[in-house]
Amino acid sequence: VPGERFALLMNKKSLIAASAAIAALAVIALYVYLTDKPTLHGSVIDPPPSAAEVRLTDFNGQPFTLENERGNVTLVYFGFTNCPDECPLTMAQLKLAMGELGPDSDRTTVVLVTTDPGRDTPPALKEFLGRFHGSFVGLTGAPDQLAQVWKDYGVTVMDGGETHSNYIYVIDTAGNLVETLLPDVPPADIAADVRLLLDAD
Amino acid sequence: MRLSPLLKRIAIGMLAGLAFGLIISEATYFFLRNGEDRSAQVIEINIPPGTSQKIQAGFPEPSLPASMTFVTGDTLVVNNRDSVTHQLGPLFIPAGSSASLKLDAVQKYAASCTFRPDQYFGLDVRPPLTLQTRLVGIVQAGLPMGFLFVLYGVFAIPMKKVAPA
Repeated sequence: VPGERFALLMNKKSLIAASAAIAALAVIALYVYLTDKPTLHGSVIDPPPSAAEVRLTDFNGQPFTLENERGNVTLVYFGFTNCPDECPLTMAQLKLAMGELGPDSDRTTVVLVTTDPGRDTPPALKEFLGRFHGSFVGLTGAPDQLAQVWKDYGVTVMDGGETHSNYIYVIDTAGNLVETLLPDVPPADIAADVRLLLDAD
Repeated sequence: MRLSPLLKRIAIGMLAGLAFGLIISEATYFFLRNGEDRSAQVIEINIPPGTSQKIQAGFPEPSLPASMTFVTGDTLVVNNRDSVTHQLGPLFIPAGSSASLKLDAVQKYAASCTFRPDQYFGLDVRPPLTLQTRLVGIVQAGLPMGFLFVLYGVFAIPMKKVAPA
């Protein structure tokens, strides 16, 4: 009789074995969930300090502060518009990352702080960054203001701004400096890091 | 089981080639190994308080070697106990924080380093040297030598004619 056969199969030992198997699977799933979390791709700072304030002027002549970017992930890069290699390449990488981010790019701010204020006038910054993405912000300021920001971010500027440190500083939605990326990080990894920080918000 | 003389020469040639590969590969490994015969691990570097002042005063920082060898998968952690921000190649380490970076790619370069008197630090990231790597090395060296031994054994040394039973 089928009913009797089922009852025979589902005896006490079978129930214990099935429960043990389900428990083992649950433990494995929990272990994978806990250990296989996505991680940031750059040099991760722990504990992340509050990012030094950037009080400069954007290419529209408006004051810029990092404080106003709370709620966004901010990517800060130091460079200059006449740069023949690293700066445009980095901006191109960031443009591709913005494309990967899709709607999340609305909560991402990319900032270029000039290392060559003599030649990087607001129109020059606007024209340069406009080639990459409409939302990118170019910042300049008085020499002492720029010197302070360079110092706060450990940026060594030499040769009239043409030699400079080469990091992308990643600032989370709470204004903390969480990691630095090298410009050759793939755009997909940059986008993944930004999304991770937005999700953690 | 008796092998024919030809098969015996092929077998002896291949075995001699593999033995040759084993000796060459393992001898090279023994003399040239440089810390990469291990699995990936976390490697920590500490920047003690007052390092920047010592560097500015021209004192050497004795605790850090001029270069280090890593294997892919290692995580480099730099703990900055100094009062100023430091940089080590791809790592930016604010004062009082640590910075960690997983070294995923094979690379070798002289990184700029703010906590060494000469401002440079050699980073050498190599693939991990596992037992599998060594076995591949033995086979890659041994097989071509084995073929050469077989060719020599078959064509350069005349076969003895087997007397009819």
